[in-house]
Amino acid sequence: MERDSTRNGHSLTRREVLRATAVAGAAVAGGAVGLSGCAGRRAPAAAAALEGKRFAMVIDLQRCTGCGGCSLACKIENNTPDGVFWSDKVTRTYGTYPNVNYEYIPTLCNHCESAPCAQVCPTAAMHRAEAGIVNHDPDTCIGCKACAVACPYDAIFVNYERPHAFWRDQETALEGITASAHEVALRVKGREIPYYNTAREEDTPRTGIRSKGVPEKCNFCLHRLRRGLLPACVEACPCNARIFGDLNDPNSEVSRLLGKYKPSRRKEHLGTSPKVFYIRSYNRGAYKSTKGSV
Amino acid sequence: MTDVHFWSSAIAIDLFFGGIGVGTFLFAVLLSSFYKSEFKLASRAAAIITPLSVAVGFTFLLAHLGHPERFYIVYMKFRITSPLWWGAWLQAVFFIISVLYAWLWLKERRQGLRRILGYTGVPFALSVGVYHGFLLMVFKSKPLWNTGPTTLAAICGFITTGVALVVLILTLVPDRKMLLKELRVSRNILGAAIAIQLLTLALWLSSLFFGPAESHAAMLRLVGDYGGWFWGGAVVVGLVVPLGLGGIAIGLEKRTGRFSYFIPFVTSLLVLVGGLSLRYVVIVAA
Repeated sequence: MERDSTRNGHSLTRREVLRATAVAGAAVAGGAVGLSGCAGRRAPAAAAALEGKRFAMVIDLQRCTGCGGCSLACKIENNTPDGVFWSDKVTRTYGTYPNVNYEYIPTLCNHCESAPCAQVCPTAAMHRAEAGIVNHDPDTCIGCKACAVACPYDAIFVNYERPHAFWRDQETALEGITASAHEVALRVKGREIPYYNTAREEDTPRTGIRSKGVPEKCNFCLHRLRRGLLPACVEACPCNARIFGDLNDPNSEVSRLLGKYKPSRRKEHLGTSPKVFYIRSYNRGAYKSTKGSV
Repeated sequence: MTDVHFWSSAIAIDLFFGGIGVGTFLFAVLLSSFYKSEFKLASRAAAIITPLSVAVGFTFLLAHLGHPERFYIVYMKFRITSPLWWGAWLQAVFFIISVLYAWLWLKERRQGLRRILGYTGVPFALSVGVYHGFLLMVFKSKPLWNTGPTTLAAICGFITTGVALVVLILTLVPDRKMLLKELRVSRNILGAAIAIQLLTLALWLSSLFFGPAESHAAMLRLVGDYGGWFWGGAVVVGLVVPLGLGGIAIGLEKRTGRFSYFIPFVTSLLVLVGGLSLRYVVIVAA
């Protein structure tokens, strides 16, 4: 996790803008292999390195432009079904003309210290994995949806219908000229869907190609962390608004920022102790001068 | 996402039939221990309804699950923090006891064992009843449920619906004139249970009303957006009208000396409809 401290220390570079553009472009192109990024074998050293860590995310709202790149990167990385956004947002327009403000709060699973979803799960399918990350194992899930009911942040989604419906669609854009999504899927080695993250599937079966009836949620891209990479949303953010690191390390960037700024967390009064912290404000009126860096 | 009902009608029906099972079991044990062999038919009917009702509720629970075939996994894990895990175990034990109890009533033998089994089942029945409320109460994410009186309302809910189903069945028995005394006692118990339930609902609403802003908003959603189900279905149809009809029936009986079989039939039917409405609205309005 050294990378996050270095990459968050400087302002936006041309290279990063190009990288974000490449990420978006690849999404439109339909995926291929490159963006599973960490599709290689798990690096044992990286997996072992998660021991004793307590990962958290700091979202610097002053740096966030509300571009939605995080949500896009998350969908590419985790091939979430239609309508499912592990990396989501809450928007609000408030005030009266001419003093109207707009607020954009990126949201995701908070990986609460006292996670209600994991507490109520009767089969431990929703469980605390290494580094304090709340993860879900579809193989032991009975689909009772108690976790989704218990989550105060609406961060858990349920696949009521058979997922990946897009790849079963037989409609073509131009009759007799273009292939339907279903035809494309059939051509790719007989897989149900032509693209999914093999690293995720390798770590937790049935999280690549989903099954019906089970919930799913953000897991801080645990498969990437195990391979020594940052979560996809952190990696993709062109403004370095997402800072990821170890709370147990007093020298980490997240510890430094939480010491420097007064953080807020969503629905703190519920006592869930979320590990996604927000610093500063999206509202321009509340900007603090930082001279180009945090 | 706030409009997504992760738990919906299947869970409401599960709680409804599970609640009826608890109510009928307690009713059977109560009648057979207080009135001995006097109220045999009512006790027997209640005892037989219990496992059937629990089984119907469980079927709806399974239908709700994304992977019902994996339900056994619950019994292979030790999940002390999960109310659902506790509920699964409590209901399994209660179901086994209720099946044995019903079988002993059907076979009309080993009355001593039957009595012991009945008393053994009471704490489990009560635990399942409390669990139905507790299950909802633990969700901090749902201010509508996250109050103490939720449990209380659930407990009284299963008593009213359980007794109502027994009354309904007794009024349909061909030689019901033989059951006059049983019907009268059952009707009075039902009346008392309805009155207590009205009180618990008032307590629940006031705890929401005087609670934090989120609880207040949840209450407004319950009585406003879902007002038809709550006021119309649960309160008026399920409690107020049956209570009024019960009063009319008692008045008529005193004046004419004739017992009306029709009024308890209608009353119990309304209580059951209201009980289901209450379960439904409590689940979906959260």
